[in-house]
Amino acid sequence: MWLNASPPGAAVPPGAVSPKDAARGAASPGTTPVEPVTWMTEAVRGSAGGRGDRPRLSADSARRLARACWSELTNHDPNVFPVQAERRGVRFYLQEERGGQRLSALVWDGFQWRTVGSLRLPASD
Amino acid sequence: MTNADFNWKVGGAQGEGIDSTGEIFALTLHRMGYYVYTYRHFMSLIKGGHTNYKVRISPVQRRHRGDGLDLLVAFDQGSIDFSLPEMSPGSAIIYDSTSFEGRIPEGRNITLIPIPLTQMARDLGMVIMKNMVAIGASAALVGLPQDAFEGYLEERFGKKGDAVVETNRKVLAAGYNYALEHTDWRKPLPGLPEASKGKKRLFMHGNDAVALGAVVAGCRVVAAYPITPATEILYSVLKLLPKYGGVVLQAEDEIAACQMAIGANYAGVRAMTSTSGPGLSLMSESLGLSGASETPLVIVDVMRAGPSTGMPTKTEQADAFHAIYSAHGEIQRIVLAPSTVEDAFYDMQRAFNLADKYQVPVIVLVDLVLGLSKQTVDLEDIDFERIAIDRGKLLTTKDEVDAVVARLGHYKRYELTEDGISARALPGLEDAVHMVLSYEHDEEGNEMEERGMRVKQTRKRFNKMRSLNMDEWALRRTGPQNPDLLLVGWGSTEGQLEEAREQLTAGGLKVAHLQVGALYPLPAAAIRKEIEAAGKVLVFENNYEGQLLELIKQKVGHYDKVQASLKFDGDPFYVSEVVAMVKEVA
Amino acid sequence: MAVNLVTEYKEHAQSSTWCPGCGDFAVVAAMQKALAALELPPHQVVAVTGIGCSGKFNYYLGANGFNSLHGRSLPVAQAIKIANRDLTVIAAGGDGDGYGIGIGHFLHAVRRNVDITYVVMDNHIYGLTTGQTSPTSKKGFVTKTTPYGAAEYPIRPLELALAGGAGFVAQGFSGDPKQLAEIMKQAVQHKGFSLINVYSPCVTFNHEETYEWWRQNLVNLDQEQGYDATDRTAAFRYVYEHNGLLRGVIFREERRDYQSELPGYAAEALVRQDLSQPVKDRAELLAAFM
Repeated sequence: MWLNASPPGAAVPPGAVSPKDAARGAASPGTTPVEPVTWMTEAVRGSAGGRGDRPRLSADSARRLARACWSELTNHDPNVFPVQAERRGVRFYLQEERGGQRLSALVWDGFQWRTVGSLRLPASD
Repeated sequence: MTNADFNWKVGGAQGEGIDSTGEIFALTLHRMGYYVYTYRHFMSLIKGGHTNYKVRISPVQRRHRGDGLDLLVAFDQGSIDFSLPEMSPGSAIIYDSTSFEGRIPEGRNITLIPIPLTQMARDLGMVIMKNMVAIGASAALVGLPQDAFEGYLEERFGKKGDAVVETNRKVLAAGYNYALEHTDWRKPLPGLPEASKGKKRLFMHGNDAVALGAVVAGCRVVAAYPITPATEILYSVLKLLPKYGGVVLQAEDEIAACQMAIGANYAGVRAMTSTSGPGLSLMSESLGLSGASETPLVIVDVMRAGPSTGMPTKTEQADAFHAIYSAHGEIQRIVLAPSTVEDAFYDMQRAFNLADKYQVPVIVLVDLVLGLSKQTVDLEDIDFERIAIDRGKLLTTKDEVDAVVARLGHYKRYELTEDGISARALPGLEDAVHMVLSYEHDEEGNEMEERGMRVKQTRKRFNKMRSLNMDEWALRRTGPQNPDLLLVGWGSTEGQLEEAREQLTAGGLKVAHLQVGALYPLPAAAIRKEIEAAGKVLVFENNYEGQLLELIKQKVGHYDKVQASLKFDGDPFYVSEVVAMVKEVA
Repeated sequence: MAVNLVTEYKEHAQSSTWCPGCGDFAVVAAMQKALAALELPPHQVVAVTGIGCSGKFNYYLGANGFNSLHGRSLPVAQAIKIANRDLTVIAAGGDGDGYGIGIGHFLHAVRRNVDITYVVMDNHIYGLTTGQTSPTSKKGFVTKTTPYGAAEYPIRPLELALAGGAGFVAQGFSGDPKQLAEIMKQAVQHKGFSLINVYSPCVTFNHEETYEWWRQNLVNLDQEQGYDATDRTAAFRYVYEHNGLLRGVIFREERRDYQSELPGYAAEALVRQDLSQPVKDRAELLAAFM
C-alpha cells in the first residue's frame, strides 16, 4: 500500500529514492540494482489503480501494465517531451539527469499528481 | 557678521521665470567673486502658486540662506506678504506697479519702490523681459555698475543674435536708470576683498555634487525615475556621463531603477539610483536583495517632507529610520549623510568604495535644501586628487580567478572567509561561472535551508562590517573642549548651527558644534566622548521624531542631558530659531 | 563542440527540484542546446530570473545566474547587458512573475529594446505556491483561489508584445523541444529584445491544459504555408484569430536596439572602461559648474 500511504512516499520500494532525496539528486540507496519493470510493477500494484477504492490488480496484470509502460517509455520519440506513460491513475516519467536517468512514479490523489517514488537508472545508451 | 551680508529675493507666481531671474542674479554675483547661497521656495506645480528665489551675497562662504532680507523684488502682493516676516529693518521692496499697488503693514521700516516692470518691458521688448527690468533696478540700488550683467547677457542670448542681446541690454538699462531716478533708497553690497574679485569658483548644489562625485568615483550607469527633489541629479549626470560611455536611464519606476543599479553592479559597472522618499519606499525589496545577495548598490535619497506624498518641494530630514531599517529580514547596510556640497562630492566616492568593499547597499541621504540650493564652492575644495577608487575583492581577470581556483579547487561566490567578505567575480570570466541569489545559500551559491550554513552565512554578512569604523571620519567638530552646550546636527543644518554657535559664543556661552556625517553605522564611540564631555546636548533636526536623537539613545546611550530641537514645517532652520531654542534651555 | 558545450552547461547546473514531467525541464534543455549550437560557453552567458518555479531556470541552466526578486528579472537583465555588452543575457520567468507582478517591466523592456532574450514559461497557473490562478489562466478556470472560476480575462502576452513594438515575438511548446531550441537560437541571435512565450505545462496543478491538450490545439507555424512573420499587422491578426494557440516564430523585424540609440555608448564593454579618466579631465568637468 505504499503508493497510497499518506504522506506520500512514506515507504518506498527497495532501490527507490524518496521524492525528497530525488530532489537532492541522491543516488539510489539500494544495494541491489532494481530492474525497472519490477519496480514499476510494484508501483502499479501499490496504487490499486490510483484511488485506493478500486481492487488491487493481480500480480500478472500489474506486470503486464508495467511492461507496456516501460516499452512506451523506452520507445519514445526523442523529439517529444516528456517521456511519459500513464495507466490506471499511475503515471511514469523517464527523464535525463546528470550522469543518468530518473524514472518517477506518480499517482493522482484527486487534486494533483503526487510523486510517490523515483528510481535512478544508469545512463541508458 | 551676518550684517555684512546682503540678502536679495525675487518672488512671484510659478511659471513667471522667477527661478531664472534669481539664477541670473546669483550667478553674476558669484562670478564677480562673491560667495552666494541660494534658496528656492517652490511648489509641485507648473503654473500658479507662489515661488521665490533668495540669494545671500557674502564676501565669505555661507552654508545657509541667511535670516534677513534686504531687497525684495515682488511681482505680486502675495510675494510681499510671504516675505514680510523676513524683511530686515531699513530694507526695501521693488514691486511691479503695472500689475498692483504694493502694501505693507503700518509701522514697518521698509521702503516700497513702485516700478512699472511689466509696462517698461512691454514698451521696450516683450513682457517676459520684466525680469530683466527688475534685475537692472536691483543692480542700481545695490551699487552694481550697469554693465555688471553684460557677460551673462552675451552668454545667455548671444546665440540668438546681437539684436536679442541688445534688447535685453536696453531693458536692463531702463530698469537701472528708472530705479536711480525714482528712489533714494540705496544699500550697497558688502565689500569684496581684492583677492576674491573675479575668482573662479564653482556654483553648484548638492545634487550637482552627487552627480559629479559619482562620475569621478567611477559610476557609469545611473538608472532613476524622475522625482522632486532628486531629478537634478539626472540632469547633471546627463551632462557628464556620455563622455565616458556611461548610461543615464530613465526607468519605468523606482523598482526597476534600483534593480537596474543592482544588475549593473553585479556585472561589474559602478551604478547608482537617485530618488526621494517615495522612491526609496519602492526600493525596500531591492535593499534586501542587495544585502542578501551581497551585490553592491548605491542609492541617493534626496529627502523631501513626508510621509507618503507629503510636501514634495519642502525639506525634511525624516528618512533616517527609513534608510536604516527598511527591507524585511536583517541585512547590513551603510547610511551616509553629507552636510555640505563638498561632503556630497566626497561621499559619493566613499559610497561606491564602501559598497564595493563590503558588498552592501549604501544609502546617501541628502536633504532637499542641500540638494537644491546652488551655492559658491571653492575650486580647491573639490579636490580630485583625493579620489581613490577601491573596488575591494573584485575579480576582473582570468588570472585572479585562477588564483582562487588554485586555492579552493573552484570559485565560490559566497566563500566563508575570515573577514566575511567573499571575492566577487565578474560574470564573463572563465572558470568562475556562478549563481548570485538572495535565497539563503551555501558557499557555492546553491539555494538551501540547512540550519548550520544559514547561521554561518548570516554571521558572515554581518561580520564583514566589523572592520568599518565611522568614528575616524564621520564627525566634524568646532568650538571649545568640555563645552557647556553641544549643538548636534546632520545634513544641511550645519550652516545654521555653525552661525548660531558663533553668535552664542559672542554672547558669552561656551558652545561647541558637532555635525554627524554617517547615520549607520553611527560613529557611536566618538559621539559618546563628545556627549560625556558636554554640559547639555541639543540635537537639531528637521523632523518630528528626533531620529538622530533616537539613534544616539539606541547606539550611544541614554543621557538625560541630551534633547532634541525639532522643526518640521518644511522650512529649514533660521539662525535666530536655533539661538532661541538654545536660550530656552541654556 | 556543441555537444561538449551542452555537457559543460550540465556540469555547472544544480540538481533540479521541479516535478517529474514539468515542461520547464524541456525549456532548460532546449536553451542549453541553443546556446551550445551558437557556440556560447556558460561563462559568457548570464541568465536572470525572478521567483516561482521558473525562478529556478538559471540554477538548472548552468550558466552564470542572477536570481532576483518576484517579477524583477527584466530590469536586472537589461542593466547587465548595458553594463557588459559582450555577455549573452537571458531573462526567464513564468506567467505569474512576468505577466502578473512583472508586467510593467515587461512592457517597458519591450519598448526599450535592450538586446536580451526573455523566456516565459507559461503554464496558466501558479505552481510553486501550489495551484492558484495566474494572469494567463483562462476565464472560468477553477483553482484554489478561484473556486467558482476565474472572473478575469487572461493577459494576452503575444498581442501585448506586438503592440509594444517588439522586434522578435515567438511562442514555443515544451512538448516540442526541437522546435523550441531552434526558436531560442534565433531569439538569442536577434539584436534587440526578443520574447519567447513557452507553453510549458504544469503537470501537477493544471489538469486541463496538458501536453495532450496543447499538442492537439496548437497550430505549428512552421507548417503554415504562406505565413509571413515579417508583417506585424498580419501577425497580430493571426494571433488574435487563433486565440494565441500558435507555436513558432510569430514576428520578427530588424530594429536598432537601445544601446545603438545611446550617445557616447562605446563599442568596448562599459565594464572595461577606464574609471580614472574623469580625474584627468578635472578642468573640463568643473567647467560645467562655473
